Amino acid sequence: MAGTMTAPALDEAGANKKLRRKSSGRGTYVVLGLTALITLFPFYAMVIISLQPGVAISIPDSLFPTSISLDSYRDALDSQNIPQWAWNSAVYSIVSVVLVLLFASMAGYAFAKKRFLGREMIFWVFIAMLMIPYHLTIIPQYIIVGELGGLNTMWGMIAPTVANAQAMFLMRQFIKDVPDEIIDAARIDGAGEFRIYWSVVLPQTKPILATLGTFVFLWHWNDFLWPLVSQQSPGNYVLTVGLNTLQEQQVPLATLMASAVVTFIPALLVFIFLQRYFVRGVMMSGIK
Amino acid sequence: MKRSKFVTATAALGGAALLLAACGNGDADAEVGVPDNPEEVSGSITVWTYPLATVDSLSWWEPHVERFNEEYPDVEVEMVMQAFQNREEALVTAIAGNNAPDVVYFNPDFIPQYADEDLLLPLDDLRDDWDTAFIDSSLEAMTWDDTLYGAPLLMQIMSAYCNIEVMEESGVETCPTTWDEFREAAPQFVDAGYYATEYSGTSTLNHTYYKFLWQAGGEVLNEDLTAAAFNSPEGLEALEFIKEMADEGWVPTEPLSVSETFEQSQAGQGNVGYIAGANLGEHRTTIDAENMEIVPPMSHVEQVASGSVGAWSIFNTTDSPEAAQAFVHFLSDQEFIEEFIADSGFLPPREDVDIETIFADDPQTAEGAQYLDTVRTGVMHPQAREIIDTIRPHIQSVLLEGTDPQDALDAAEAEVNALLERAG
Amino acid sequence: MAAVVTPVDQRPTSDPPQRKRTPLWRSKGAMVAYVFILPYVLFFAVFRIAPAIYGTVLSFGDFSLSGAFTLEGLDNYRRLFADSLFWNALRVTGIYAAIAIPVTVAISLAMAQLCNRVLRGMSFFRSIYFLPVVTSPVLAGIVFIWIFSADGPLNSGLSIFGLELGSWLQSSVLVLPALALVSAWLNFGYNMLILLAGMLAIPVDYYEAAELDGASTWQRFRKITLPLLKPALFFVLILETVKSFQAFDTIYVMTGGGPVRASYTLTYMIFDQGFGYFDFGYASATGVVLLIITLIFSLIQRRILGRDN
Repeated sequence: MAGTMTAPALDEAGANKKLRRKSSGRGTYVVLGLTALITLFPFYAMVIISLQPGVAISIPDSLFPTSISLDSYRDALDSQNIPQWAWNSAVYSIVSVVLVLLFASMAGYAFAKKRFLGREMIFWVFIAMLMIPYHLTIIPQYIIVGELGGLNTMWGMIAPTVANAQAMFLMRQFIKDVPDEIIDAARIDGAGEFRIYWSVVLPQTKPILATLGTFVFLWHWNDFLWPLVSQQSPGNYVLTVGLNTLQEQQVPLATLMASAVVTFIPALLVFIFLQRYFVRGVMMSGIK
Repeated sequence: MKRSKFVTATAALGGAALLLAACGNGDADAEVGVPDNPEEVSGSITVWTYPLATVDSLSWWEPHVERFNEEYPDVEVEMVMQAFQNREEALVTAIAGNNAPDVVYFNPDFIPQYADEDLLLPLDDLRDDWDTAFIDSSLEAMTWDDTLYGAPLLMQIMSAYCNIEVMEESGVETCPTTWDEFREAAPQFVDAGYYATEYSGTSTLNHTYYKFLWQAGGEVLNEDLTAAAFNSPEGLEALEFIKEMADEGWVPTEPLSVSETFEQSQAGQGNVGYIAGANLGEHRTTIDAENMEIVPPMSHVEQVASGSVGAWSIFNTTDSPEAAQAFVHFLSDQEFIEEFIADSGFLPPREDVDIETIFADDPQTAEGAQYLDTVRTGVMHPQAREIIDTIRPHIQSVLLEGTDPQDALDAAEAEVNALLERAG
Repeated sequence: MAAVVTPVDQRPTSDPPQRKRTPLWRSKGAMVAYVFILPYVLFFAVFRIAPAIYGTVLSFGDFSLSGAFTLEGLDNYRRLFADSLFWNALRVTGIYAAIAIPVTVAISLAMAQLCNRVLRGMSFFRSIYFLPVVTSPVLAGIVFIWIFSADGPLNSGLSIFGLELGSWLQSSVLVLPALALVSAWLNFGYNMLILLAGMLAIPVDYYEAAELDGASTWQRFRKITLPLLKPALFFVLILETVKSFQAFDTIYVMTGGGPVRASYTLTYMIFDQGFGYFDFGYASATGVVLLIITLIFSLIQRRILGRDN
């Protein structure tokens, strides 16, 4: 197993090149284009409504407005808590990414390369826990975090999400493929255990770290249920919870949509710049 | 602390013994009353308030807290502005995290539930002027098991009004104040292209079905709160009245199952003739005050308006019961309530607040004060909210899916009785 | 080697050859290993294992707001099986899954097939299809509330064909299809990629041979693509099954379980009983039932998978 990261060739020069359809691409383009339009429509609707504050929306006129205004964005950014929520979302996502990557790669390294009593048992307990529906554990998780004094705190929101079994599993799979020789070589050179992990093993797993990081980031950025129940003061909301609150508070539709657009931008940026890692992650197995 | 031990045990089972969370529940058996030595009262208290109409920022509270501190220099008051959304979840989260506020703003339906859980401090002895200065119904709304658990801050009545322009265009001469008058006017509104009124299928039944039930002379529960009482001729009449509104097209259909923003609702756009219960402040954002004809609450057998009481309760988990009581005492003084009422536009629970002066240029709000005795706030029961959630889908199914009203009431009654029996 | 790593991975799980030495469990290496897994194990024990055990225990008792826990045996389960709310939730969950799973999988499969060809700009289209995957269900819910509303674009479009359906989210018949459509929109890009990976792994020779034999496109799809795609398809199926059993975010945002509890699923019931009424014991009992249902389904799926291989 040399090419562990061999993702399927997705570029135009892919393996199926020879399978070129004989028919012209026109019909395909029509179908592709139509489905793309349908896929994009909710985004378009979101943006176009956000640009028409104070207008009674009607179909189809409102979809092609003659005049637009950015006022609702000012509303969204000024009077709502959106900057604060965006900060909370960012902290929640970024700190979680760092902790998950760190702990999962450390544990993955140990499970992949070390032999110790209980290795198999502990590992399989972790994997078995994946079967437990999240909704069964969220109530006791809430009570436990409450007892630890973590409700309504950032750390209390982050801590439970650090225990990510899929991430650890994935790290273990990939670290297994790191050749023992380079680890042994480093050890012969007198490198300490942490140094081996940090400067020999981790660099080998950069691609998977990027993939995993992208996943974990988006998963946290879009997470809803746990932040919803664990954070109860508006200053602590993350964007998804805040957005839902705006919806419940029945702010004007344009402001709501403007807020939604603002919420989406970071995810969009991550998507644009880290898409290839994400796509690779999905094609490798889908870790979520 | 049963819970801590239990959690710790479970966690230990899970392989971790780091859950020896200190358990910080305070002393609940403090003496209640007005402290006679303000300088010696000390402690820090957290107070949860909410955006109460225009009193929606902490800056409003600052000078008042300062004034309180002049008398009680060693009490540190932290006001926290909470949101009404997920209000209950926020509270329980705080309690579950051993982090409950010391003082909290409550509406009547919270009292039985939290009192039943033994979480509230009795306030009967907090003031000597409960009986003399406060409106009886404001105190009753905060009483459970003959014990007062809330110090009233405000009263609210949902006003009934007609949209004058819509009335004129529809040829409706007098704004209805009874069911029969409404039945007469409704087709006229509809014929002119308007809606007669609005019915929200999603909001609390306190403002909707219950109100009609009470107007018909019915009750939600029997007197000792052990069984449902709404499956009665009165309950049926009320439900059929609402069904008539939906079937005849007197009400817009969207609000029957979706909550809309006021500005987007038909009422907000001025397309509704008669509003049975309005938050005046909200309605005035899109409807001109001059365009509103305020009328007495609707009556059928009884005259009933919906409304609410807001009050301060103290959690018995507080570490500083004396400080909390001192502050709540301050918040229920005539001076404070008068200032709050003047700035917020609510009605006062104290009879010695001069509303004539405060609302000199807002006679519509002042008018509400004379109907306060018709206000019913809800059902006083620990499971009041669960009862509402149990009945509401059945009412929705009558309005949206044409279920027979009697069948719906039968089904709802069975479910509510099962619920009450379980709680019993 | 160019082995394409397919979702349900067929690659030989060749662990690095275990060096047969006397196991030194207490060796320095083992100690180091414990240190490395310690943070992870701690978090896992406190926030995954303990809650799982605690949740099961909770289901046999009553937890009051003031913090007291009392064991009540099977009371919660007895109540659950007598509760029309529960049976309704079970029914709603089943119907939702029965709509959402086939719709999503069918769309994903069609889109994968459509994208499995070499065309200029294909990666651009694939990116577009993938965009909803990074969208939060909350955001999707908010936009789709408007799309499904009585005067929304969907109804305006349908009225051209003479269909007057009214607000989808207000109709107890249309609410589950509406939620399923949102779920399909959110997830098809993800599934499409997994299926595409599976398709790309199918050797081109098969198709060439079939083409020489004069097989039509449809025949090639049915006789070659589908059978060889089975592992990937099953993976997607399992994924969608789990997702539809645990659908929550969009329901919370869009319908709150309504209208008339027509979208009150099991997971919504857990949330509602747990965080709506703070009946933690009862909610946990519902959660245990959900766990059992999930286990049964994955056993069945494993059976089917196992037999096929």
